[in-house]
Amino acid sequence: MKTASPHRFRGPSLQPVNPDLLLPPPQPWFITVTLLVALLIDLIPLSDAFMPWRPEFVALTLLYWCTWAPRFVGVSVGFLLGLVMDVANGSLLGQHALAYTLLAFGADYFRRRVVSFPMWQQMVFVALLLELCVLVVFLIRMMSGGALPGMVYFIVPPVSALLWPLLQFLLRWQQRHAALSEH
Amino acid sequence: MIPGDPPPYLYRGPSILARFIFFTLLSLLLLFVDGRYQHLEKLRTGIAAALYPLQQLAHWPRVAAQEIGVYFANKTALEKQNTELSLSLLEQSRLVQEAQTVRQENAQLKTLLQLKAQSSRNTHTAEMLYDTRDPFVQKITVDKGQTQGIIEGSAVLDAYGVIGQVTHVSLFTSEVTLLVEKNHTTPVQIERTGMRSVLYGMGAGASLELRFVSPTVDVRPGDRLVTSGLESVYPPGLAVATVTAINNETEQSFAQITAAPVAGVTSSRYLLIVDALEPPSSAPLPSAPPGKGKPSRKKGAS
Repeated sequence: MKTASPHRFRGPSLQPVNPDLLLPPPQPWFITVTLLVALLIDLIPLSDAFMPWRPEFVALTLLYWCTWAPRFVGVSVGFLLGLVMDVANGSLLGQHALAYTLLAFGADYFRRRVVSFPMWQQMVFVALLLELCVLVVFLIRMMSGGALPGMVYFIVPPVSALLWPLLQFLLRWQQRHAALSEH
Repeated sequence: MIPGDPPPYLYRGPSILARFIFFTLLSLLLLFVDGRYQHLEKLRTGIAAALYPLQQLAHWPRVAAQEIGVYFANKTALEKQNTELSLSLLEQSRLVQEAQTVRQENAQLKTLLQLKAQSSRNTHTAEMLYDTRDPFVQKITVDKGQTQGIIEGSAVLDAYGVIGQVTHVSLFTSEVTLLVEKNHTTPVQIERTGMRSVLYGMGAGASLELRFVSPTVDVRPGDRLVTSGLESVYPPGLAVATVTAINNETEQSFAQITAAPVAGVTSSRYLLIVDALEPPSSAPLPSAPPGKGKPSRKKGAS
């Protein structure tokens, strides 16, 4: 655990440091388990009234790990998860794959800035990135002659972004646990 | 101070931008191939099989909720339901007996006329697992697949009529494209007159459209539309929809006829799958299962 965090032994900074940045790195098994659980939650059948409102747990979890564990989760994981979502949804193969590839890249590109944002700015960023994904899928469907979805479709990303603080708390469980057991 | 950043002197593989471009192009390629051809069905089946245990697990909360619901069900409600079911069973068995006599008669007449006897088809009962989450497609997934002998193109019915067609078969599950899927086509005929036409889905929430009917043809609101059995995909005579409105005064050469499905297309849970006849492998494009669900494949139906 002690060898794997190179940033911990740099010189003292005069800025107050976000304590989350000092957590030990997440373990690959934990990342895999959380992604699977997110997929599981996305697969739970709901009644028609709630179905369109379901937050996109897979996209959120992917976004989280792309930001906080870019060594393990990047565009390739995003692509594979997208492919799985395409099959699960019975949609055209490649539409979620493209959207999640974009999501993973966006998360990686902005991650250095995003980790130092206050929470509300992070949530806005998450909502914008998810909205971009939704727009990509929408354009693909319109080009291939799909039916128009309801307005709910474009409201889901900001709703999903509201879950970001909770998700962040849950997904740091393993790191907090590891940090506590170190002492 | 960024977590997870490796020291810059370590080689990290191809740059993130290169990987991003590679996977973007791969996605676009997949989209193109899946939209135009059917080469990716194996990949889809493979992923679906890997996903199956997770899907079963995800299905569990609903099953549990239902069982709890049954446990606390009201006794009088159950008794009432029981009476209703017994009555409907009585009615159904009378109809079945009638149908058997008619079928025998029909077979005899057909042998007299030396017509080809209609082969009976296998049926499977299935339960709906879930609606797909994709708001662009009108599909459901059912709990029977390749291992139970489901064939692609089979008709799917509920107690009242056709709800759709099996468009993709995985190992343990199948995807059913519903009648209302945009540009999904069903070959039908008007029961009263025998006039044949094609019924088009118009997307969720919209009614169905009966196309290619000339304005002078005898159609009335309330007419039942049944499958014509012409494409040897659906067996003939299954109830599909009822005509709701007719507009003859259009500039076009065809009348505008809308219809509503008779089956609970989006609400039925227990379904009957009637096998499609295996289409001849050398079939020309037009005899492919109509409107293969994905609108981009509509060239097969044109």
